[in-house]
Amino acid sequence: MNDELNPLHDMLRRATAAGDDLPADLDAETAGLREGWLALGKLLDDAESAAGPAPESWKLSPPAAPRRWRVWVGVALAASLLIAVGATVASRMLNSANDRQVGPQSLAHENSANSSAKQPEAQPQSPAPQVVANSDTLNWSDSLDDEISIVAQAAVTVRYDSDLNLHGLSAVERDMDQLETEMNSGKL
Amino acid sequence: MEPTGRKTGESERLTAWVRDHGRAVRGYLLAMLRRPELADDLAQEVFYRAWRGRDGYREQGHARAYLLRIADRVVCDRVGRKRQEATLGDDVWEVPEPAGGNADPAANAAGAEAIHRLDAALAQLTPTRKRVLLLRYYGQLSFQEIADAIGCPLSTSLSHCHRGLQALRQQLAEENKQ
Repeated sequence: MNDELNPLHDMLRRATAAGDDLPADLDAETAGLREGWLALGKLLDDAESAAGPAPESWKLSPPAAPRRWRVWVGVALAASLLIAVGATVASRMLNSANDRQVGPQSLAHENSANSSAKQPEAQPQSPAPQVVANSDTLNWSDSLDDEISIVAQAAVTVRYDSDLNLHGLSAVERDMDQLETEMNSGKL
Repeated sequence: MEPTGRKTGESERLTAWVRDHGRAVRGYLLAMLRRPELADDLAQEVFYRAWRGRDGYREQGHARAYLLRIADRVVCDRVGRKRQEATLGDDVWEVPEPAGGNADPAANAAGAEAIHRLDAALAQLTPTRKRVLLLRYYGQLSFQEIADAIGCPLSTSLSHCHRGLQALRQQLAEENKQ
């Protein structure tokens, strides 16, 4: 504490000490402050008495502990919901992956074999196998033009695959339509 | 068994707080607000807050100081709802005391006189000086604890106390002259 504050601190500590006595050894200023302090105490006590006693019972009962079972039920519901969503997404992803592996190309191939007489469709000729092979040979030392060319060919391949998939799907749809038509016409 | 024992211990501590310091807390609130029913309500809030914050309280024999600091904060919150603390004026802090409910007219008159004299004395004090003196009176807080409670340096709390006591002394001298 600052040395300048020490005398003031001591004086105020003595002037405001607990109790209602006025020690004789106080200096004049401290005694004056002490008188003011005691007068304040008397006023506070009188006013407190005039205000009446404190209520005999205050509502101090602590609040009930929160019901934790509600929390646990909420957590369980959230977890089950999460699991259900995850399972649904995983199932859809698996189905989608299976469709890609099995479907389009083989279906397209079968379709073209079965219905080539009716609707010959020109299959786009693609340099895809060559492109894939070329992309494997891409090196850091290749020139920029070569790299651009390879990337462009790879894009064409991706587009070709996409068209092929669409073609396969449309072939399946056509077969289904044809089947439905034959069933309706009584041929089957 | 331990949680039950702990709960019992906490209940006993709360009971002891009310028994030993309830009067001081209520007195502080009463002096600050001058409305007995409001002081009673806020005293309950003080003990409720103390109960909620019991985990952060360490028993070091300063329970009254702890409760008085909460009481001071409760008063500031109460007053702050009407006006920001930075612009507090005496008109916000001093709420006129309604007439006492005592059936004895003489007791009512004496009570009204006591409250009037207290009002006159506290009117000499700024809100901060009032807080300093009342925290010292009811809580016997050290001046450093008071400084921490009201958010000022120790020198400022000492100055507030000194000037407040001087004002009270002057008020007393004027009353004696009359």
